[in-house]
Amino acid sequence: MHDHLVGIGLRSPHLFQFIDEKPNIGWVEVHSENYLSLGGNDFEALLQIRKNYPISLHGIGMSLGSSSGVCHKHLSQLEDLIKDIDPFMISDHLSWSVNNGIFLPDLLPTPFNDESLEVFSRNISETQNRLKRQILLENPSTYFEFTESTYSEAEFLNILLTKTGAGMLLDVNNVYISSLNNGFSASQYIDDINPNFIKEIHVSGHSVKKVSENDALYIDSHDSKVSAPVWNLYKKSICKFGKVPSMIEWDVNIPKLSVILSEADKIKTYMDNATSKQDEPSQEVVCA
Amino acid sequence: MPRQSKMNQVKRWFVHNLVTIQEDLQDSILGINAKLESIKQHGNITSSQRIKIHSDTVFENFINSLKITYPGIWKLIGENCAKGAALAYSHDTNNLVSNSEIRDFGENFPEFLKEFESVKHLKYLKDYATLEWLRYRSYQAPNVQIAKLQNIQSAFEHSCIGSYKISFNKSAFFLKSEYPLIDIQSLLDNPDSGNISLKKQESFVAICRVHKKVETLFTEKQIWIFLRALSEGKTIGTAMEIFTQDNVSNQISKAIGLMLEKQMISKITK
Repeated sequence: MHDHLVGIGLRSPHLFQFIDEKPNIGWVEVHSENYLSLGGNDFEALLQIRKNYPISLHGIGMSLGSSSGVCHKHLSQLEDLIKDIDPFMISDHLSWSVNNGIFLPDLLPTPFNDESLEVFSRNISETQNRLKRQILLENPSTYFEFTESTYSEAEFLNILLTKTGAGMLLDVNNVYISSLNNGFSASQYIDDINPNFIKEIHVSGHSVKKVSENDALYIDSHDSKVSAPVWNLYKKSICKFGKVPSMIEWDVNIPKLSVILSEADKIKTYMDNATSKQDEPSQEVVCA
Repeated sequence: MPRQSKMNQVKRWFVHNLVTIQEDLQDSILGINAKLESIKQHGNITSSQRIKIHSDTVFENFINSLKITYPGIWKLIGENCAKGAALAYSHDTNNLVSNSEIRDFGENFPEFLKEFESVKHLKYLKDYATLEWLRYRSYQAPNVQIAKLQNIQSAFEHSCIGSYKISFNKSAFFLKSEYPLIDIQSLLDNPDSGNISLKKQESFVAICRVHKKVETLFTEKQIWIFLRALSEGKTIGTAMEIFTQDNVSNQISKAIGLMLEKQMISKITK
């Protein structure tokens, strides 16, 4: 019923199988940085897939939180990719990766204060002006918070998205693991986000890393099926934000395509169930 | 310690602007200098344990990236040694790149291997790594229009063919080595085929992407010099000077045949 809203993160090992089998899925998301050369077999495959599916370009390299600003060359490469793919959404993260011209391949956290707000606002506005369209910002997975933060993450995002007109890509797994790593309520986080901003939702698996006898950190590893608490948070999210395009991310120990598609089927089921409950006014919608 | 410097230190302790925070975090992740005072304490988990999650991710991603680009090197020197080399390579900030150049990460790895203590006795390693780097570049090269056979044929029928130049497909690269790279390749393709000969024996290699697949072509010396000269922008006439008079037409036919078969020519111009 909601097939058109459900997508998967499509990765290199599945590109050609995907073309052959044309699975019943509404859209796919790919990592922009893997296609910036506009060449090679994977890019050819992507162009072929684009003929039959809407594509969302999800970035890990814009580094929108860099105090040194956004990289114009990177933006120019992205602009060329957008011309070829015509994506229905473009997203990146509330994070930074570049400092002093060095790119670290990770999504690094930022303090939530006025200075960061100014830096993100400037970089996001410049990006949106250059690309001539709205971008979505994904909430990060965090393993620590900064003493310099003066806002909660949800407060920071609400102000930033209001200022810039950007949308939000809500990653419920990131909310879940950050809440456990930093001791805040994931449910409260969902309550605090302004629903008007949510344009896309990610769900994915995580892992747990023991750091001592009694302590563990929750890692945004994208290497397994989605856990029950994350599904619960997803259920709460679609109850609050409505049915927005949602997808499964799986980037490490990538399983068979059929496994990823069956995880995506669960998204359909959650959406269908939420609909049936909402369609029957006598039934209370349980969002908790 | 001078008073001003001491004051700066005190100031730095209390005022952490974003530039400083990002510099400190980057240094901590790269293991240059751990400055962790900005990290909020929560529970029993230390700031170092929290930062280590990012360090592990960063170096794992660097290593995986090199492993993808240099699969043959991984087999030749073994997983542990290759990981050690990749880790040492990634720790040198001179080898790191900006976000717009992320596809260039690993470009200096062949040169690095030449000097890396545990493998520097393997003299052929640098050249084989260069071969893998060029294959990676070839795979990623932008798609370009291939010259039409008709245009190429009509150019070659022209009396001034010697003044024509050939623009190569961007996936075409040329490599010369003092070592028998073809033997190393055979060993990697078929591990039971024998040992690698360390004897110096020149290799002349052309790498190009044909029908969506990167091919490695081991060519004759003269043909390689001819192709290489053309790729450097020399005219066909100048490039032809490599061939001796008695075999010129035969060698040119071979070279042109190879360029056509492997779709190397994107343009032929006067």
